[in-house]
Amino acid sequence: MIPQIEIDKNKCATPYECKKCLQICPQAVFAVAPTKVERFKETAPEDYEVQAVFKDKCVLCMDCVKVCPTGAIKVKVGSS
Amino acid sequence: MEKYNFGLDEEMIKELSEEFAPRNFVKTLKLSQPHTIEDARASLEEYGRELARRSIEKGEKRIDRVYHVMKKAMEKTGEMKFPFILQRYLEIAYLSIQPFRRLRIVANSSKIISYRLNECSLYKAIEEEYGKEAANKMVCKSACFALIEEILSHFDFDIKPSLEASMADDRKCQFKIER
Amino acid sequence: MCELCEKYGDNGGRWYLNPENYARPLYKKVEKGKEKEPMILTELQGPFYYKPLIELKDNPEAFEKMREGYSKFHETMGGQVVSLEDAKKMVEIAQPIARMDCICRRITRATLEDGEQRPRTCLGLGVGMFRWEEWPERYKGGVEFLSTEEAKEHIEHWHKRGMVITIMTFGTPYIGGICLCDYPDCLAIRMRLDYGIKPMLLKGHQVAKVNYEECTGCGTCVQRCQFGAIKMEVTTKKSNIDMTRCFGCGVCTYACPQDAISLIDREKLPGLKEEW
Ligand code: SF4
Ligand code: SF4
Ligand code: SF4
Ligand code: SF4
Ligand code: SF4
Repeated sequence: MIPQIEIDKNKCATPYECKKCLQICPQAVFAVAPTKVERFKETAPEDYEVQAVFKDKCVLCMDCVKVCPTGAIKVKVGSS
Repeated sequence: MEKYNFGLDEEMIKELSEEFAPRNFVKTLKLSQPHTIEDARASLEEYGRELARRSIEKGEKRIDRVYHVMKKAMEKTGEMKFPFILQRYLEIAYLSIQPFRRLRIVANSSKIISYRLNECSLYKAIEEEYGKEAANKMVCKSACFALIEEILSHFDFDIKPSLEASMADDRKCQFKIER
Repeated sequence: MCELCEKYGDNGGRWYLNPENYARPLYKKVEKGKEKEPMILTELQGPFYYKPLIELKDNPEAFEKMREGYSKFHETMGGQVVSLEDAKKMVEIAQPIARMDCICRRITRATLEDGEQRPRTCLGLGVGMFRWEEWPERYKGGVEFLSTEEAKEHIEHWHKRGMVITIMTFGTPYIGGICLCDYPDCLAIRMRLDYGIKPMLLKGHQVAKVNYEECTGCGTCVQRCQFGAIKMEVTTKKSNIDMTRCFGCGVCTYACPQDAISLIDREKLPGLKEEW
């Protein structure tokens, strides 16, 4: 069963700068990307978003939950 | 970051397209008289050569961002004069006289430049003015060869271009410049 | 035969050694109001688009169906593993070559290769590199143009450290980059291995084979394989490569202190020649 992983966008304001969950996850479940891109301009840090993508790989070790400084991540055993 | 213009200077293309409009030029060839074919060849060569010269003259003054970055890359690596400077001037010349919006580049490596034209305004103008038979003699290739050779010699390349497919036989022209 | 070679090769040659697959014009006349927006954001958000597929991992039938769609898409944007030898031939054809930040690692691990603190790994190819300043977010930290020799050294440097060399196309068969990849941060390796999106990364033209006479069983190669193809066979004290899993990247051949592993042509093995 695929674990449920939710990230509260309001709590995670600048994920590309924090990047703690992205780097600690042993299963590399997360991905971070800009939500918009413009010509001749770098995207502002607050216009990034982190998402749990490779959820089927999650082993529910809870490392991400523990490392997140803002308490933005919730990980639960999946239900069908 | 600054908002650069990566496209060719539009004014330049417009000026060249007026100066070298194939229709107007083709009228001067008098190809209907058989004995003028040698003269026609000479004036097609002159047309191609002049188109190359003017393209380079203008193009060296109106430097878009692609050319700027390309020059810097060439300085840093000591490479890429072949194919890119040549490619730039071939594109400027053809985009000025041809109806298409991009030149179909078949290869542009460090050893070979090859490009294809699926339609050609010069060929078409000759056909319209003097008929299919005249056009299919492919005298017009003198213009293309002169254009290529002038660009090559301007940038100190001693290479002979070749025509691998022709409008008359293949409904397209394909040129190859290989070192 | 390799499908890409069949379609895009030059008279039976390898498709990525055909200069046509690197060719693009420098300029185009744009019609006002008809400029096409490039798919930069889609590219940057890559893995977000796989979420619906991954959600179906528990439902094999639905997963299979959706996977077909993804695979179809990646027929226009994907790649193949190449050996160091072939990669060196590629940079003799491709111009220009520019060193840049790896987009996959930026997305999966939030690391930026800006060339100062972290060395860059990826190579962008082709005339699009002359326009990198238009999209500073895509080419974060800028790009650095390399000569052919510098590019060869760059690839060799990373390959000998254990990176797999792969080709990336942007509108197959147009070759837009040579990437230096590892698992799990490389999205191409990952989508192929974990989710079976085959056209995203085809196997290379070779496969690795251990010479049991030479192998001392030191185990160095086992740690290097990014595809999980090598194990230590405890009883024989030799490493064993599963050639049906091997992608032919060649990383193990450089890792072996005994020179006991060699790459052989996939197409010479009837059992593997249709295995890409
Ligand atoms: S619980 Fe563990 S495996 Fe799952 S996403 Fe968090 S860090 Fe990764
Ligand atoms: S650790 Fe928490 S705050 Fe930091 S990027 Fe991840 S979700 Fe956002
Ligand atoms: S040789 Fe071909 S491309 Fe050149 S002018 Fe003649 S028809 Fe046109
Ligand atoms: S066995 Fe060797 S060549 Fe094959 S995939 Fe693994 S490291 Fe690469
Ligand atoms: S590195 Fe070479 S010698 Fe060591 S186990 Fe692998 S094949 Fe054998």
